[in-house]
Amino acid sequence: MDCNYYRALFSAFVDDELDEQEARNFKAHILKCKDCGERFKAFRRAQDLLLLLERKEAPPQLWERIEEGITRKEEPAYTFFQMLGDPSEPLGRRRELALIRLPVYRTGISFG
Amino acid sequence: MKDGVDLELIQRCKEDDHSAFEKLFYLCKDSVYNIALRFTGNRQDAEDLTQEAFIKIYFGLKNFRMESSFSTWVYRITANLCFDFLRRRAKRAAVEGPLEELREVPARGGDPLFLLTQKELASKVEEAFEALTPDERLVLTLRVIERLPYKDIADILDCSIGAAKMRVHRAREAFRKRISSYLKEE
Repeated sequence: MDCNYYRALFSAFVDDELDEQEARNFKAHILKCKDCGERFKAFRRAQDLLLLLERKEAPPQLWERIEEGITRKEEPAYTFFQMLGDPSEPLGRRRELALIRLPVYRTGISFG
Repeated sequence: MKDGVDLELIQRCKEDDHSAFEKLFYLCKDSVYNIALRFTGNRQDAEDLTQEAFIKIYFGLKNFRMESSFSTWVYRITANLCFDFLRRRAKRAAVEGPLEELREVPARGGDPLFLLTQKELASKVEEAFEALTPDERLVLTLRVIERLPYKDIADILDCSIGAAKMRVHRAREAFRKRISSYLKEE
């Protein structure tokens, strides 16, 4: 196995993903090969530095924005009386409009 | 994700219980936010994406099958929104020209070789991380910050476990090169 093979295993070794034999072979190569040893040291150091990345806290006030977003989508686009239409319009026309608006009123989802 | 996201809480959320969803928000917000923040590198965009993610989660819960992993589902929604965000931004840049906030890679040299304080080191690490590609930042966030197993990462990214491991490995290598450059080790 050449150096490229073992360098491709750096991550797997750090993650403890190698089986016992593979890990043994890996360690043996790293100890024997100066170049791979140096590279692995640098790789390991960089992974330790990654652990300095902080896990940030989401601002709690985001909840108000989310709640508003959810409520806005849940409200129907038409009120009940809007769905019934303008009393001055002919009844046939109002019936047509009510049928069109009913799915929007009930689900808040508009297909138009 | 914090403990406490149990089936009962999810069921209540599926029944439009807003107070249950608020509890769910507080249990999951940091996981979602960190993915968004580390991906975009920008707090404002991260907050917008987090908001979008939770609204999507709320309405998507109705179709969520309880036998799937809830956390993986949430991470996947967040990751997909991040990639959508990137595509929108790329489209905008193509139309409007390069964004002013394009990241600059700091020039090598300049810093004397002295022992950095922990705070300075952490700052260099942040800089090096932000200089990675969005995909590299995403996979490292999932693996290193969120500490997810490779199986979950593969589910979230919709790829094989082998592919997930390769992406993490490449991202780690990319970070090593960046941080070495920043610390003048190369």
